[in-house]
Amino acid sequence: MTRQSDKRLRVAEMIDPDYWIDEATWSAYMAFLLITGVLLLIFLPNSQRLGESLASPPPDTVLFPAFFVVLFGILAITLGQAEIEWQARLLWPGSLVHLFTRQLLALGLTLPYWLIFLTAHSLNPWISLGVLLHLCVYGLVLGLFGWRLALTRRSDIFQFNMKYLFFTVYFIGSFFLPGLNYLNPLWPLDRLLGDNRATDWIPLLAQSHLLWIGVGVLLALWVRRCLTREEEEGRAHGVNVSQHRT
Amino acid sequence: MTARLKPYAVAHARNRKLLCLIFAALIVWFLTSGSLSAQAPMTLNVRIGFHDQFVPDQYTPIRVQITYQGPPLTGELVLRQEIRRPLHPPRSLEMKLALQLGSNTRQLHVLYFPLSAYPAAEEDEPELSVMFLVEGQEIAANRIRLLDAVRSEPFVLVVSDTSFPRVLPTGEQIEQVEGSELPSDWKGYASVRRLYVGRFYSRNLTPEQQVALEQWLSRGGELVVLTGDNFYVQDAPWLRRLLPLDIDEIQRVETLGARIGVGRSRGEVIYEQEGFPLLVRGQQGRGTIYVAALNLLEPSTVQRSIWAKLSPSVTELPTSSALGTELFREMELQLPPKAFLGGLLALYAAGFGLLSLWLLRRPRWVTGSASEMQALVGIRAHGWGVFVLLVSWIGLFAGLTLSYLQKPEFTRPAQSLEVSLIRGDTRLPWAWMQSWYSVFPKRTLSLELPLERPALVLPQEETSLTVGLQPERLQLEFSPTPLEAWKPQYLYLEDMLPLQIQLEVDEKPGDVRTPAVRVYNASNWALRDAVLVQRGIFYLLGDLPPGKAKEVALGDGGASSWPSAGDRRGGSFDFEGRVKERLYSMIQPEIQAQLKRGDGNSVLLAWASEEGFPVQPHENRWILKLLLIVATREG
Repeated sequence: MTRQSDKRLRVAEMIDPDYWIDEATWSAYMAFLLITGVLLLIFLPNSQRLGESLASPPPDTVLFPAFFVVLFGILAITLGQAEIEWQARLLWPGSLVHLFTRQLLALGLTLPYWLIFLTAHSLNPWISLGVLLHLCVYGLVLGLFGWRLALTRRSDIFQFNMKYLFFTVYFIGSFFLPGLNYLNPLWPLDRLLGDNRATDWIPLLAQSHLLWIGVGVLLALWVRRCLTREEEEGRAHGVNVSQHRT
Repeated sequence: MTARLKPYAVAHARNRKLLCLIFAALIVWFLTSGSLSAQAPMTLNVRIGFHDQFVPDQYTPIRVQITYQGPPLTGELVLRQEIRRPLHPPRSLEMKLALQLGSNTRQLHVLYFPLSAYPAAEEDEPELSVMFLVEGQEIAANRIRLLDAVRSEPFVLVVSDTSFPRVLPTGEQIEQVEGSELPSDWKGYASVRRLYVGRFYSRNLTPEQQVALEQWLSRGGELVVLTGDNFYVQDAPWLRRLLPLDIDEIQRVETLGARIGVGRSRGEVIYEQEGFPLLVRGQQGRGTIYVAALNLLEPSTVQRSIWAKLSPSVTELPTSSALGTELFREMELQLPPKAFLGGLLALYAAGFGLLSLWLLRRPRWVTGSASEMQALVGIRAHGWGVFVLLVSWIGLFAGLTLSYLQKPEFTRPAQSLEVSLIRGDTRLPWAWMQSWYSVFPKRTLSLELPLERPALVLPQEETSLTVGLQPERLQLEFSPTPLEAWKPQYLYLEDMLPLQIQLEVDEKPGDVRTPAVRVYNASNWALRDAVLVQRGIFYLLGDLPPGKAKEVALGDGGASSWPSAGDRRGGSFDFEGRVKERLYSMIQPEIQAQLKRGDGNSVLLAWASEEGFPVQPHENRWILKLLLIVATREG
């Protein structure tokens, strides 16, 4: 077994669709798909006479994406937590790619939803590209957080409590604290889809995403450090971590 | 020392040259840029309406005389009015005319602008701004205060070389104007109800003024020609063609105490005495032409009686400004139906669930050494099949959703409505089209409407508009551009079209054959559900594509109503049915009036569906036009 073929095998594994869906994640995907689908249908505007439309405010374009962001954030953290099952097998950066492909699968599954949402609200397709980019970065950062959380302690109850505590504090904190506004996922969405649609949104988004990418890099380094430490500790205790299977 | 200083001296000389060059370039730039032009002497002398009066919200002639002394200049003459109505947001109307001015020039331009009597946004009284702009920079401006110029009643104009009394025996207050002041565009007559022609050299009118007058008459204007001795100077071929009295000679009738025009009447004789038709009325489209055989300003025995017959009547085109708004509010804003999409998404989620369960049943990973895993690479290769399956499933539903959502009513961000009434008369070469155009932007977007013909355009409700005047073309831009989402815009348009539909009534007195009417559609409109009405009976012609002709025999029975105008589907009117019913009910009295005028008169009714405003790419427009052509039986 050469080193090159081993590497090729790992690359094949980490992008192999068989690795995307397991018992732990398929229900999460299903729940995400069903709940977001129902929310989409609830928030879709109805056909109506123009007289009635003029009497009412324009249909809200932020509510569905806002709920979507919350649900996708929770899913991203969950997938990050589940990455601990794969890290030993896929190693670094295989696990990172694996995490990212799983996030992308979740987004890809909601593609018909976004098509419906964009058409119903007559939104510009370029905006949807911006939203997709936004969600990719956001999902990856939260996924990394979930992974780091799972590395902290293996206890399910601890992880559950910390996950929702962090998520709530993060959401509310970044919403109300002016300095952290750029990190709130709703802020770019409001800039892209809401009433405060900015004409100069590209630099604003660049700021927001640059900050997020920065946070993502820090989290990735942190996870990498934890993994290295675990590996070293394992070696010290005579366990070959690379061949450990859960 | 000198050797050391020399390079400095050379450098200094170079710098001086460079500075001189920069300075010269600056002077050239200053001379050629707008800086000089901005201070170039230009005056804008503005006169509005007739005798500096105007009727609010009607097209009014604005005469702008530009006096300019300076180098040749290219710019825009801009008329702008800001309007603030109580409880409404401010709106504006702007008209732009691109101009090229030669050096030391004087030019007169007449623009037709619908002035409003509402005050400007920052002012207490109405105001019109007239500006000359070069690259957006104001070169000259004139602000016209309009408060004292507002007139509530339409104009009654007099064109005569002899003076008329200020108030006529009919009670009409007149404005006497020079022949040169008569508009050269029918739009300029929009605020004029009646025109009296006294002693006036009608040959002096330019061909444009003559056509404008004829067109205004066919729109519903009234012309009163006082002949008698005046006819010696009035006489002109174009006027003779219009007059319903063929005057052969002028002779004195002692019993009447006046010199009168004697001739054969071609219209309705309203007043006659001793066998002389003294007041004859003729029709020109919707308009009326009166000929008095004598000069009513000179004393005669019948003077008072004839003035009494000239009491004003309303014959102008009825403009229901609310029609577009009302119908538009009835229109449905179509969005993807939830029930269908719900079903589609449920199927999608169920499919993904089943796929996931199938995936979970397969051997997904194995434990073992890397060499064992390598041996299983072949098995794992099936995973790519799963990948293809998963992507296909997503792609299939995304494709299905996308193809369903590709309907124009879902994808195009502007929903609009264009309804029109087209009135024609077989005796005239043109027809009048009134259009109501409404647009509702679902999202912020830019919309420009180029118009091929110089039509009359009036923004309705809160609509703000910029009209770019080009030769034979109008460029309409809603302002602000782009349009705000969820804020409708309304326009009213009046246009004159060449009438390309022929209606020949084959009915001769004493002929024993069944009379027939032949309709030839030489226009671009596809006519639907065409019907010919005569003596209250509706003869069905059916659809009439462009370039086709149809004949209907008037004796072969018929219907008592037009089924197409009240087409109920499923017991209630759909939108199309409601629009048709509304348009038809608007013109029903006119049809009755036309049929009453003459026993042999026929009216062609049909639905046409060609657009008036060119449809823009991101616009989902619903168009309906009701065509009404009157064929009057001669004799």
